Amino acid sequence: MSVDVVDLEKSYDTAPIVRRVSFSAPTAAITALIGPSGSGKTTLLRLIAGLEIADKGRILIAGRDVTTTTVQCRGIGLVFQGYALFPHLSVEDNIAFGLRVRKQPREQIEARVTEMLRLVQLEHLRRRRPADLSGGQRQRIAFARALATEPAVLLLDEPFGALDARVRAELREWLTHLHEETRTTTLLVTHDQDEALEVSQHVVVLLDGEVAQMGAPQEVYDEPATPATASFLGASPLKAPSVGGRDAVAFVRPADVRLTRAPLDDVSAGRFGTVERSKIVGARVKLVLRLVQGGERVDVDVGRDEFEALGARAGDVVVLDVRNARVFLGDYAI
Amino acid sequence: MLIGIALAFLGIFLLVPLGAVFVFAFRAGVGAWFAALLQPDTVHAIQLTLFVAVVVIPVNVVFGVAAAWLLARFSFPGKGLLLSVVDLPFSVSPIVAGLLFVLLFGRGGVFGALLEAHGLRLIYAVPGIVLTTWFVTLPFVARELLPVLQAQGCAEEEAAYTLGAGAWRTFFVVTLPKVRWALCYGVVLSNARALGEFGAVSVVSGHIRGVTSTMPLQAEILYNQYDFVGCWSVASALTLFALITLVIKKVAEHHCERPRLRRSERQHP
Repeated sequence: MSVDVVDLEKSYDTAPIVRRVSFSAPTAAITALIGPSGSGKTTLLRLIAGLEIADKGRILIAGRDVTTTTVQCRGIGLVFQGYALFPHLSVEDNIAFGLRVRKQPREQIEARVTEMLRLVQLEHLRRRRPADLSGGQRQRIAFARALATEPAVLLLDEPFGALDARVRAELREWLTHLHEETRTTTLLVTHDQDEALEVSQHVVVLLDGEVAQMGAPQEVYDEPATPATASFLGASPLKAPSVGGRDAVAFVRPADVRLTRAPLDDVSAGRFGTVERSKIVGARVKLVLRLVQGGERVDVDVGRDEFEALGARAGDVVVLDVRNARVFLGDYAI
Repeated sequence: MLIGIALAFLGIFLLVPLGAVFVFAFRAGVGAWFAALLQPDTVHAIQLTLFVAVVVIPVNVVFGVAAAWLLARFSFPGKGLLLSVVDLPFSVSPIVAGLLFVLLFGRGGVFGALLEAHGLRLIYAVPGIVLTTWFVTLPFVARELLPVLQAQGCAEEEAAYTLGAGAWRTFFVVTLPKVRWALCYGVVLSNARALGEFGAVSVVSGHIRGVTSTMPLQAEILYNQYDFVGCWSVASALTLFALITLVIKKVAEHHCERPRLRRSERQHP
């Protein structure tokens, strides 16, 4: 039940939103479509769902070309950011909606609704209205409704975007378990890279309507293919020593910099920086440093105890030990 | 303090006249009130008014829902024009609206000769009254629904599509229930206006007693004849209809809320 997208294009009033996008979402896996806002990821999902019509290209679901198939017949289930439950129907009737459309017999619908409620662990809410439920519960009901009709593909559009941080963390784990049980091929649209890395087995990075990179989550995180991808995945550019006469830029994540006290005699080398300011954020400390040479800004994120052991205040000079920097050659706008 | 002023203001300007209508109507006794209402011309006026409302309201519901749905959900060429057309009866004075219909369909009007050739008569006849009333009450349903539809967005409709529901099913099972209160309110407003419309109907009716006289027109005729008991009786009957309309709205609200209450009762026995 894979999803294959081939050279898909979509423009609104001549502004291209999706440009020649091709990718495959493997069967029974969760594929995350990640990218910043405006990268076209939601439009791409709506194209696959059939809620938007592509200008060019093809969409295949389970090997069947559905490019011109209506949304009703694509065999998809869609979960929206804002739940989109039917407010005037009970939880039970919401889940049964798709089954009633398919004119299934009454007992069969009853049984399937019970099964779905058990799957999302909300059997006790069967007769409630969406308005009586918490955000997390509503979204789980929306999952149940989407899965009730046994779609070939489950499409998730920022499913946890409207929830607070704690519930979001819970539901990520819940989604992992849900997927282990159902094994439905899933496409997850999110701007939250942590969510993508935690939940998915496959990641597609979208930037400006194009596929910038795809692969396993860890691979994409460790080896960003382009400076833009590296930047989206949380790394900041830093001028590196030129390689073979070509300019080089190193992309560094704030958590990949270790700090030690500088020896007092020599502060001329490139890896010394002055602490501009620091801010304790819970268990971590965020620092802004200026390189002694060149004056470039470096953001650093260290553990609280590491920061206290360092004992550095604003104005102090420290040594930067950069790990896992990703170096790109050539001219890049920084 | 502010609440006190508001209540006093409402009392003086709304409740006192409302009460006065009934006081004047029943001054000569309940028997006289009934006698005045049971005059053949007045009975006919009441029947005609109710008939007009019964014809106009369903048409308004269908047109209003369709127009609001189109305007809220789609963008198409001529959308601004449709919006202006919906608003037109609000911006045009009822008298002008009435005159418009006379100019179009009256004898010597644009379509007058055509209608006469087919033996049809719109102006100074019941169809003209229905037509003008429809024109005047046209915006209420659409105008009540439009902001509600726009505010709610279309995620639920899209959800219904992805679950396999077609456009009609989605409209009746998802869209319509979401806007039922706005629709209810639009119907109440448009009904009130249909019953009470004076200006436009006055122009096209020709004031033929017992034939084309609606209740507001009948009240005016009686007033001009110094038949004050008759006049106040018709006025009070009109007011009664208005109050009934309000009660119907309340009852409908109550009925729509009840299933929900029952469900939650089942939940907490």
